[in-house]
Amino acid sequence: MSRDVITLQPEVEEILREVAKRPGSALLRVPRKDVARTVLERDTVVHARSAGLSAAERHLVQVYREEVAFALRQAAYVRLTTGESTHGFVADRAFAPLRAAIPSVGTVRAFASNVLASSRESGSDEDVMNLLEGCVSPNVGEWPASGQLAGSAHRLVPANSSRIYMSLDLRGAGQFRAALLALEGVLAGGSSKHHLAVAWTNAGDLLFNLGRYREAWTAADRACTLEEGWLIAQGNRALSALLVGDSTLLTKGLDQFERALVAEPSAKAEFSAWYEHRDLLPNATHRSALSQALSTLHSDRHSLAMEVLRAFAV
Amino acid sequence: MVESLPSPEPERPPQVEVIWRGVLDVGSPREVLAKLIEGDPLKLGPRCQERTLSQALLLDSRRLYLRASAHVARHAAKYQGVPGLDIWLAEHIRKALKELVAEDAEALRARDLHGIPEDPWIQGVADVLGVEPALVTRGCAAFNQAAYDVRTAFFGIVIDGQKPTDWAASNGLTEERARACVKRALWLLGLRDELDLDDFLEDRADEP
Repeated sequence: MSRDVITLQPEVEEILREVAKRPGSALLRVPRKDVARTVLERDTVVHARSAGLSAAERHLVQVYREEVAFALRQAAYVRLTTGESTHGFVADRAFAPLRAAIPSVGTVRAFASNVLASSRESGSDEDVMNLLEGCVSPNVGEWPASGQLAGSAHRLVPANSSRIYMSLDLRGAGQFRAALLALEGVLAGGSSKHHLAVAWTNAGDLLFNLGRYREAWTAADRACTLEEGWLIAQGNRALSALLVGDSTLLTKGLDQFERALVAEPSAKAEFSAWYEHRDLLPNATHRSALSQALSTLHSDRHSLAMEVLRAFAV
Repeated sequence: MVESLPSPEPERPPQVEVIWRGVLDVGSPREVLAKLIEGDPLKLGPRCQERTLSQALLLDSRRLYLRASAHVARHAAKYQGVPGLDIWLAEHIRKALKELVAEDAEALRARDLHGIPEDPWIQGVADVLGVEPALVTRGCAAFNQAAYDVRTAFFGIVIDGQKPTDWAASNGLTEERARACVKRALWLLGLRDELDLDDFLEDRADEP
């Protein structure tokens, strides 16, 4: 009986050769071997058992690390949305594209307590445990700073959420350039569409606050491309377009922002309630430039969009 | 005369409960882990394999099995039979899979993925494509970041040997899109270290 060997279809073989020819491809660089189809019948159990218990225990330690890091990230999130220096500009995830579950103070505290209870098993260092202990307090104001929480989480398990939280913490401290640098890891590669959309949105806000309006527009435009109809990105793009002074960009931005606001009245209401009492543009220079740009703009077609933009100039 | 009835016998726990109680109810997470690794009584191995294949991921089956076992061991003390065992285990496998894919993505970003895969299945895939062994781990991590269409097209057309036309028809895609997916999958698998992965990735909204 002949071996059942994996053989590529002629058209797949053709695609393989075409891709392999491209510079930068490592395909077909070593002699190919016949591979029996039986290889596909994996014997996972035997293979895994051969790893032994110590290898399995390393994974158990990693599971604990992931839990601690997750608890710290959740705490950082709550701290950011409630912290004095950040809550003014950090939009609640209710506006975010994925509408992921928003952790409440109660759930974060409960989770932190739970993780602490198993801290002996986790092998996490004392500093990290002290940070977590700080998050058990019912008064969120007493919790460690969001940057500290996110930074520790990131050292345990690097993740895009912690990069974004660290950036927001720096933004709250007015360190716009450092905040941009913190986002580089997210923008550099391998990030999910959602994280990219959030990172480009935040990068747009930081560039705007640095007075780099054209780059801010580009960043916000990328976020809009990734998550069409996301109000925060749409609003940021329209704001940047106003200060870039390019009428084509502005009209396009206002048209799309207006459409997004009309399309989702409930989101619009949520958005309005959110921005109403916030100091969204703390820098007086930008505020005055915005105010001036708005005073020359009369657009009946964009009544909802204009209402939002005016709130930024107040 | 009055007849009496003996007390009813306690209801026997169903067989499946006997099995999981004997594994999950044995003590500390480390003790549960030891039980799970010895003989795979909850059949985590085949479950992990099924999940990897259904998600069309090129992931070392041993890593997933060990990580999923660690998750199960960690939360064993809290399990009381609800939800059903299959659902409960599937959720831990899903978490383990998500973690490993994210870890590989981070390592890829940090250009810290080296070594030759130990999984003979993945090595077999690399042998078919003539990929340098040192680049296979990185290639698999890049591949696992790709969109679901790209991954399933690779599994269906390259591994299972379906014709692009047939695969496209049964998956509701055009033949052109199927070919593009295979091309992208192959490109990611053979991507050299010095090239920027982001230029080649798109549509990655799906999660394993």
